[in-house]
Amino acid sequence: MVAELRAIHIDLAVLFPDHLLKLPVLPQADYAAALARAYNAWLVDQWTSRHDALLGAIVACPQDPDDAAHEIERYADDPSIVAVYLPCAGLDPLWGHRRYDPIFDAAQNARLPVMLHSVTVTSPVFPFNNQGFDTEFARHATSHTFAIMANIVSMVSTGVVVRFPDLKIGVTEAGISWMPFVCQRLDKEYLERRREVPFLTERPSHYVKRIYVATQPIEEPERLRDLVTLVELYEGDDTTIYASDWPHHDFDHPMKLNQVPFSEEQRRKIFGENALELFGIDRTGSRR
Amino acid sequence: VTEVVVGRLADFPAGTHKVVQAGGREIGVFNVDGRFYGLPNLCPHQTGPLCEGRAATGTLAADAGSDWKPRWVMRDEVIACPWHGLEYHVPTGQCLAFPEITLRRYPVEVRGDDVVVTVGGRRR
Repeated sequence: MVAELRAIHIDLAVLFPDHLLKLPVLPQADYAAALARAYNAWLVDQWTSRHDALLGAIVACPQDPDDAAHEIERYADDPSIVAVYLPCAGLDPLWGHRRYDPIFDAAQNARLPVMLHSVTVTSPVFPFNNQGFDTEFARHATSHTFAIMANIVSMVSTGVVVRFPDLKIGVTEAGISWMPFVCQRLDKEYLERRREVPFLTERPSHYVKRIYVATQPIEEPERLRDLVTLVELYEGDDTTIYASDWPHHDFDHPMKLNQVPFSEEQRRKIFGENALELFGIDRTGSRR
Repeated sequence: VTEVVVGRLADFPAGTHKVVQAGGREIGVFNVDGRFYGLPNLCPHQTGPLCEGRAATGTLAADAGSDWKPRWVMRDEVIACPWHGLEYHVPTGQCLAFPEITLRRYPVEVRGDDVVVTVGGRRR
């Protein structure tokens, strides 16, 4: 794995689980929690503890927030674990619900960021009730992004972002073009409906703009410079992070993102420095 | 600076407000529990008739002290624009959603039986 990652110019990788992307749809909470514990142990034992170039995100089981919090405490001081992965596919309720507070509390205490990641499923649970689409073209276009948008709106509107002010939040596999939309839309709603979110002390977009956004699957507009404008719209110079999604079929080679006419400083941040900051990694590759 | 008698004290019972004309301006005069305040009847958001809204009320706040659950605060001190609902704190003119917006405030005094609004003074 390390050699293959090197071949696409990745020096330091953060591993996410593949087959646990749909963990939230498992009906048996104990089984789901056991799977999460097994994955976390395997991840450290077989991968992250054996290779300096591999770091890991442990998975938090949404069906059992107390067990997930315990797992976060267990790995809080592991130098190869740099994030807590929050699965989103089929999740009910969304991550803003207060039942998940033990997870956010544990992650904040452990100084580990939480990383939301979704995948396409068809489920009665919002926003995956996508049975109205005939094609994977349509389902895949919407499911990943809608899931991230729904969870970010949830976490802002229930106050996760103010209840856990030191918690870093990142999102993956949704591209970046929805960010300006969510910022603008929430600010507009805030005009009339501030009373429903009275714990916010700033415009909602200010909280959204603090969220780290992984680029994959990076949009590929006809005018590549539109991506520069998109990042500018959510003031993302310090929060945008290259992600590969390797080894999935729809992974992004860094060459693609490198073709975007970013400044040299933006390039340096997006291809490394922002990730080091989010994951608390020092320049030697160890967790700070 | 112009002082304008805009009505009698009895015209402004506590807990009510009324839009009056003074110095060519429409001004909302509020009696909040015996304290008088004057605000422009013009919402800087989209020029809505801010002070034609229903009675000033309180509003909701939430923080760690309330376990993030909403509680009722600023009783009788908040006016919401009837157009889009943007809320303002009447005593200070502060917009609750957007800290960068503060309304001009017109001094209101009770002199004997008269309610007097001062317009054209320095902005405060």
